[in-house]
Order: sequence, then C-alpha cells, then structure tokens
Amino acid sequence: MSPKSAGLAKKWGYADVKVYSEGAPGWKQKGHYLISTPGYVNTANIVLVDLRGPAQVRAGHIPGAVGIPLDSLSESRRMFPTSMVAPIVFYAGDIKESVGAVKIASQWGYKNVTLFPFPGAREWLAEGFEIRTGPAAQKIHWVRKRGPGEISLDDFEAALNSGAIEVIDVRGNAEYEAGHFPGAINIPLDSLPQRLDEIPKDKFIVVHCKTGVRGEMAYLLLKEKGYAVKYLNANCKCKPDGTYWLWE
Amino acid sequence: MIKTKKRFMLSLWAAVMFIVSLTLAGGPFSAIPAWAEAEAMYEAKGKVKGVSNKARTISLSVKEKGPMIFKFNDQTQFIHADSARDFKKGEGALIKYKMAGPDMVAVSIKKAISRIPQGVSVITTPEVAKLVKKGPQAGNYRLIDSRPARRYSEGHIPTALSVPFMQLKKKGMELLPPKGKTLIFYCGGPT
Repeated sequence: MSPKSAGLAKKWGYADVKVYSEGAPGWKQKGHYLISTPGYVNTANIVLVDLRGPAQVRAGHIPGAVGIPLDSLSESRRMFPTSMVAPIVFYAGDIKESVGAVKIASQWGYKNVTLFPFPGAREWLAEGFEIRTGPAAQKIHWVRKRGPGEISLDDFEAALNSGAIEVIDVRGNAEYEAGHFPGAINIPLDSLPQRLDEIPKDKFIVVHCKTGVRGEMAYLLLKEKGYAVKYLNANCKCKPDGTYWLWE
Repeated sequence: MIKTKKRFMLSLWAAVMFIVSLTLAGGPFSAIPAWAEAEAMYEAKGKVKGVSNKARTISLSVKEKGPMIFKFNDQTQFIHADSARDFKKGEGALIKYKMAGPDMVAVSIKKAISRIPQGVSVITTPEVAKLVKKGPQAGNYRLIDSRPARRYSEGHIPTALSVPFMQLKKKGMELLPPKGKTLIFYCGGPT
C-alpha cells in the first residue's frame, strides 16, 4: 500500500517522497512504540492500564481502565490475560512511563502492546469522551472476542460430547496416534480436499489441530464447500489415554 | 567367446557412463523424468490464508475459486522468501503447482512484493526514529500511514497521519499535506 501511495505522491509533483518499507511491524520489532487513537481506546476490546498513582486516578481516569501504578506493574504480571495477542494499552501522566510499561509487557511476550498519550487528555475531551472520577478497577476483565468461525473452549468441549457434532482432527496421522480427543476423527489437512466424502453434511463440523493454524485453513475450505463448520483457535495437547489440555 | 563377452560388458559400461555423465550435466537424461516434465503446470494467485510447517501446506484464498490448499516440499522453490515461514497471513503469493495424484504440489511459491516507484527512495528504521524524535516541524517531514483507518487507530508510529491508500486513490492529492516537506509513507510491512 505505501509504495503505491508514494507513487501517487510522486505523480502529483511531490519532490521528496520516501517509503518506510519495514512499516509498522518493523518499527515495533526494533523496540519502538506505537500509539493508539482515542476512538480505539474508547471502544475497542482492550486491556487499558492507568499507570498513575491512586490520587491522580481518582481525580479522573478513562472509563474501563485498570489502575496499576508503574512501580507495581512487574508484580501484577499474573493479572494479565493468558492470551499473548490480547491488546494492551498503557497510559500515564508522563509518556516516558507508558513507554517503559510497553517495554515490560512486550518482554512478557504480549504481541499487541501500545500506548495512549494521556497528557493529551485534551484530545480525549475534544472527542467528547468521558473522564470518570473515583477509583479505577483493580482487576483486569478481558474476554477474547472470537473471529469468524472460532469456537470457544467451552463450546469445543461440549462438541466432543455431542453426537450431533463431528469433531475432525486435521493434524497428521502420527500426531493423532500419539494422542487425540475422545471421539475425534482424523483427516490430515493435506488430504482434506480429497476426503470430503467422509465428512457428513448433515452434522455440525468442528475442526481442530495443535495451535489453530491448520484448523483455520480447514475451516475456510469446509466453509467454502458448504459445511456448517467452526474451528478451535487454541492450543491443545492430548495424551494417549484421552486426557487433554486446552489453552489460549 | 569369453573375450567377446568382456568387450560387450565394457561397451555396455561405457554406454552407462555416458548416460550418467549426461544426467549429471543436466542433458536430455536429466533427473526429472520426461513424463513429469511434460506434466501440466498450473498457477494460482491469491492471499495467504495460512501456513503450516508441520503439515507442509500453504493455503491461499484465490479469487473466484475460494481457498486452495497446496503441499510444499524440499524441491519447492521460494521466490522473494527463504522459506514458507516468510509468508504471513494476508500477503499476496503466486504459486506454480503440479498435480500429484489428487494433491496440488507447489513447484514455486513467489511472494508478492511491491516495487518502489521511480524517484522514490527507501528510508530505514533508525532514520525514521531520528526524524520522529525531532518532530515533523524540526524534521521537516510528514509521516503518512497508508493502512486502513482501523489499523492506524489500533497503533501507529508517533507523529503519523492517517491517509489510507484506498482513500488517497479515490479522493486525490488534497488528502496529502502541502508540498515542500519530505513525505514518508509506510504500511503493514513489505507486502
């Protein structure tokens, strides 16, 4: 997208046009921070953390924010979601503190950490967004919103016990043999297109693999072929005796 | 009688060696059997939907065809990429493939990369970081995020303005800042 935009600018007579081809992912990868907009912070399904002290938080904070002062952030690690793709946004009175918090959470392994420059509360108020007085929440309540076709862990376990739902394990044969969910049938992803006739059309289909990657590919294919299908976008480990672990 | 047999064996040996040498030189008896070479090669162009190194498959969403699943192997050639790992969801790819029984086996997988237009130069992360630190005024630049507005709202580089490519194409240069400053465009990486 950026080279094309740059091409247009050049065509329109801009003399000095450059492309930063590493883009936003490269910027983040090199340890620099990204900024979220007020509109995103106000409406998106995020973990919002106010890094200021309790007195400042009580005087006015963004609704939905959790109050965790920067100096106690490290010991609050366990409060954060287990999903490493959970979007986390930090704000503080001083942007340097937010930058520090972004670094800490990124080191923990979170992939989508940004900051919101709250000293620009002007910007927040200009949008007509609310500032709330009193104490902020003390606990993080974040529930992952599922993408198209994703089944929740609970629904997946229910599907295993339902006769009306066919669970298909799209991992390889050897992976399946080493342990699989009770009742799941094995059709490896690469042979799925040729083995569609083994999949009943009158049942609801749920596909899974080890991490969700192959599951999603299988989901897209089956959906295209007209199946009522969902997939498990989570990690799993199965033992030969049928015991299993599921986590996101 | 024995001598004749020996001579025959020798000439047979020479013939075999001749064939082997041709094979090594990639001549008419190359490692790929003729029937395989004659096999039809197909092409599919689309967006990467998923890559599994474990199952050695890559799936593309192809216009008017929907999702297609390809196998890759040690013979698969990667173009503009070192391995299947370099293909991320949503990136464009061109796959040349053959049919092996019911399987679609990728002969080559080419990553779609946009060429930098003539007269446009590339700027590196340290250079951008230096400018961002100075700010748009002192640095005499404008940084423009070409991604869709939603991506910008989630997280953008400090000092960047949002001008999605699709809007720029539709509405024209009035969306860009006035001339006279360095314009730096970025998006979601080299796709």
